[in-house]
Amino acid sequence: MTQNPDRRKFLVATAAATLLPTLPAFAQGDDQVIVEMLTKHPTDSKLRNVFFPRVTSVQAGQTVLFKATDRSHNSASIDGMIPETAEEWDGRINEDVEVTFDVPGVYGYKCTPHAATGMVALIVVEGEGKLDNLEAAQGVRQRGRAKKVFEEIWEEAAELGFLEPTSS
Amino acid sequence: MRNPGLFSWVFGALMLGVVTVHADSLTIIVDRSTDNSELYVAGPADTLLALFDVDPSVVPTRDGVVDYDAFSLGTWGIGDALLKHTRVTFNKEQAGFEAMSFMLHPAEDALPMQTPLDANIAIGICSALSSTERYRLNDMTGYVGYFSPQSSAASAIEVVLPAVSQSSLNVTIIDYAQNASSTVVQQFKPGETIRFVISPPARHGALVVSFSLFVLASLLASLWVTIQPHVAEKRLKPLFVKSHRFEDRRASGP
Repeated sequence: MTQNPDRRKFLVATAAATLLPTLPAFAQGDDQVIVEMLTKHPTDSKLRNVFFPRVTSVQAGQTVLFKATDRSHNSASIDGMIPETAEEWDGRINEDVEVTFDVPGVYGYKCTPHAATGMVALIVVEGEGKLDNLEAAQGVRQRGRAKKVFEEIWEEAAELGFLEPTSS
Repeated sequence: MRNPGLFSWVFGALMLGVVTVHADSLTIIVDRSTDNSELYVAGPADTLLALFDVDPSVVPTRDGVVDYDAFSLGTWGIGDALLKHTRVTFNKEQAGFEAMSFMLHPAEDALPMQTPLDANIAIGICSALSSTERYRLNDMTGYVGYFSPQSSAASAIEVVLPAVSQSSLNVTIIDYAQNASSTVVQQFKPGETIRFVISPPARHGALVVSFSLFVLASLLASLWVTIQPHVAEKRLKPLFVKSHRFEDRRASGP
């Protein structure tokens, strides 16, 4: 598949931006990973209404804090985009929400009012069977710009190696 | 202006500075990409709803005051309602647009609507008022955005609204493609069908070829003008001399 060089640069930059905030959490042995809910991307002012980072990998049992840095955002799981046995979540607008991810798998989530403008993101919970719901999650119909953003997200997650089977 | 076909339109929107929405006017931004398309519309809320043939009750209100709390669940349903009776085509084929978001801002504090980024900000609830402020629908400017997974990079886009305007209407169309933009204003009389066609952007390749051919033709023409007298002289001189000699021979005949 050929790729636009600009897009590749963007993906690499996004991947770096994704890893940097995540790595210290692992390095410090901290169980909590922070995902910010932002109206403006911290490094690309043309990107509006984003989760940052938008692709995250955590270990089973870890907690993610969705931080309401900017107003009018929330975090909510997307129907059909989490493992069958996992619990859905639906954070309130303008409020932080903590979610603990116990079941390995891929978790698609959204900001409820901004989902169709592309404010969607992905968490991959490491562990056995983490790819079991991948096909189902990728098959969920997305509205508006979320469709395009999820195409980028799946590509980004693959490039980061998050969609490789867990070696155990 | 990239689109020669649009020259017949009035150039009133070539204003410097920020384009804002005024009464009896709509602003439309088209953002063309090679793999998708976005369309944004802004205008006085009551005008917008009337032109798209949508009952104002589609916007949630409490005692006539816009209910922003209800917007927090997403407003694409309002956007879809606006598009329901509107015809949008790419090269006469149905364009698969679906709404991203609809938002209202006070008319006295209308947001900029000049670029796709402006429009993207305007349609989001994060740029809206807090719900403690009280505005009625006719005090507001409406903004709505649509996304299509189809490319319109080389397409003529036609938009036909389902209702006619009761008064004169100016529609400002800002067309973005390949990081370039063109702006035109089309005027509609009261009762006139609101239909406009946005021509496909001229391709840079075609422009380069056309310009190259023009330059080549100019060079050949100037070369011909330069050498033409010499060629004429060379070709005609022998004839003249021959003729002259013939005349001489006749003159010196028996």
